[in-house]
Amino acid sequence: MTNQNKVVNLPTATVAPITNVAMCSAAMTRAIERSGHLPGMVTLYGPSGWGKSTAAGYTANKLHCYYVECKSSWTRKALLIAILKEMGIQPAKTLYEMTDQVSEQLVLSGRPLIIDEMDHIVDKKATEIVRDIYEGSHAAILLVGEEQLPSKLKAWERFHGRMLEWIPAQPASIDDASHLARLYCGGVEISTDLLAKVHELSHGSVRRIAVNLDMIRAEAGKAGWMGVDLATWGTRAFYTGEAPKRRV
Amino acid sequence: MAATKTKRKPVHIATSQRYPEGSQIMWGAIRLLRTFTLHDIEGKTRINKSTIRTYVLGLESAGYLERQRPVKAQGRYQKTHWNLVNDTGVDAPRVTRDGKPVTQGRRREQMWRTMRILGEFTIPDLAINASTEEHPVNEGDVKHYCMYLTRAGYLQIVTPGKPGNRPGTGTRQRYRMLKTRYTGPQPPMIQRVHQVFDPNLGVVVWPKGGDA
Repeated sequence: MTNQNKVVNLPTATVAPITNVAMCSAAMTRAIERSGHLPGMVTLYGPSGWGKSTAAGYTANKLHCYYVECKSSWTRKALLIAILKEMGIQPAKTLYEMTDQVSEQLVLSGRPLIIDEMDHIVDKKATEIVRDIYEGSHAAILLVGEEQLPSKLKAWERFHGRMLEWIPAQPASIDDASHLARLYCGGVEISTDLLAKVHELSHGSVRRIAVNLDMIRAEAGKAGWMGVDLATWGTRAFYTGEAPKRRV
Repeated sequence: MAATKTKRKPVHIATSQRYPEGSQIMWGAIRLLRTFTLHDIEGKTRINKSTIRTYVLGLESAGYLERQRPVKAQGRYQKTHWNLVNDTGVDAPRVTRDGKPVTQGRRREQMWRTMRILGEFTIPDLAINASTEEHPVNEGDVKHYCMYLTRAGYLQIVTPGKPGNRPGTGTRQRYRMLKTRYTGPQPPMIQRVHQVFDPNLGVVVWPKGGDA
């Protein structure tokens, strides 16, 4: 392996080059800079562990967004209060006043809104509030949720027409894996065959790749390896996210 | 003796006194009045007039305010009026006296936001996830900030870190952000006097019963 993986103290070590992160922040930039007649909502959806929240987090930092993460118990009021708290505004008493407060702040500040774990509230009336906020502000809004989110949103009228882009999260590529190795295992060279193995066993999950890489880094530290390949790693276990098999 | 320059007060005093200070207060008054003179803002906020002038001139250069044409009455120019032309919402724009945007504090803001998104993290996790190209966050920053936030009860240590017998062999400390302790969008501040001040609540949160 060349020493391209051995980048210590990279001046700007960010998650930006990871596929999903790059797609997400680019789509939000387009939503912010769109011309007036285009809709402004973006949906990012995909299985858990594929780096959606990482993408949302980077986008929030990069584009200075308001970020809320939904919980399954949330009502319309809970959603509005959470957004207002994120904006640092004292919530008014009624739902429609709060909706107006949120819309006004979005319009004035020009900052986008990110709603993570949207699938928790997609079956509830809180979804209407999201639409009301969009109608009231025409701000760029990013909805993040699980694989079923687009089909669940279909149940709500007038949602599909307001969507600028649907972004299906992509499984982690081998390039993503090598970028993650650069971020998390600076100082330890990981050979291509080991990286390929990690990538294969992780089934596209950025989270699992990160966990495996961290295990490799820790193991390398203990054993004093400068570089690791598949042979050095041997029969040590990988993290696959599956429940342990019973051996009787 | 020459008059000593009045220094900026520590934030926990500036925000809790009878007439609080700071650009947020001035911006609030500007948004309320829309058209105003320096004197009007002074009357509303009781902040030192030259402080107000510095901020207003900065806002004018940055294009948030517009100066009205000077009016002459009874042979002399009247007080200058400004109009609010670019209202950006509740958060006071942060500008220098010549109207350049202030980006100081963005890293802390990014760390504070990312902690909440990650939930559980180690120091390198947070440094990587909170970094952007414009405002990279280094691990030293993160460590320092996490140490104070843990003391102040925002973070909990899930697995304590352990040093190893050789460099790179230890265990990394894992932190968890307590979701109920997310008090608002503004990151808690570490003051020079080594206190943690939460600007969302307006109180000193560490040490308990500190200098508030």
